[in-house]
Amino acid sequence: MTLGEISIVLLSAFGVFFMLVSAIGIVRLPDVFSRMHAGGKASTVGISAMLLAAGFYFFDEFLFYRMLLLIALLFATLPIATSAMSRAAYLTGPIKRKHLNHDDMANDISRKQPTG
Amino acid sequence: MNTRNIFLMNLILGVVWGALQENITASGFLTGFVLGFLVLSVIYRGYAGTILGIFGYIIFMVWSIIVASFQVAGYVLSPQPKLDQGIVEVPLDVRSDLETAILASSITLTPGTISIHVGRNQDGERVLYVHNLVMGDPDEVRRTIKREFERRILRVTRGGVIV
Repeated sequence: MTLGEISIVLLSAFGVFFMLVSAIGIVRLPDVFSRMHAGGKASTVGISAMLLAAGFYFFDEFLFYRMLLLIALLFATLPIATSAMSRAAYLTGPIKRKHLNHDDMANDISRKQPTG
Repeated sequence: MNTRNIFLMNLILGVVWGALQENITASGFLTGFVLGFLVLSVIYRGYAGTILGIFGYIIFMVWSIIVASFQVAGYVLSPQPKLDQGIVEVPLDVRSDLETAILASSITLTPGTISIHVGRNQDGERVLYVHNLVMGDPDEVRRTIKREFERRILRVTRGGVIV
């Protein structure tokens, strides 16, 4: 195997490992927020590593830049979805209080009087 | 000229350089971009600092995402996950919408922390509510976020003053 092939295999193994961790985390962890951590984050690393591996495999200049662009777009949009879902879960959903050891957001005043 | 205009000019220089080559390639554009960056950073004081600061911030983010991913993987795969979840308020020094959005997105991208809400606490301060998977000491969390993320963002957005 050449060095390029080794790096492709390592990158895709890295990606698959993190996607597996994210799947296991969604099943194992106890409540909404911790599952959000597992589902939203570990998969970002996993998807980026697999896209990079694909970019190296089809060694084409424009395809590689396209992969970098995809990763940038992923990193720009994914945290917004995660934040929005967690906020919705906090404000409306049945969060399990016993898993939250500390909650500063209970004292938030901006929800009662909506200002910026 | 503000940084955004200079950056646009840098992009145009890159496109022009790439279009004047024999074959139009992405690396031709990159070469033009780097050369234009060198010229513009000589002309406009502070431009190089701002752009290098943005690149440094991206590298710092990638590194911290990788390190923290391994920590979260460790928690997920441990036989008895010892979680200590909590929502911590972090008082904000950043003011503009762009700075707040970058800070909140960076915190959410780093595994182990999610920013949930920007609101006001009882004292009327503008705060960011951050959910932690493994919290520890709330003050320590606050200090880490302010030192690691907010200071770097402020250094980029308010540091480089353009003539």
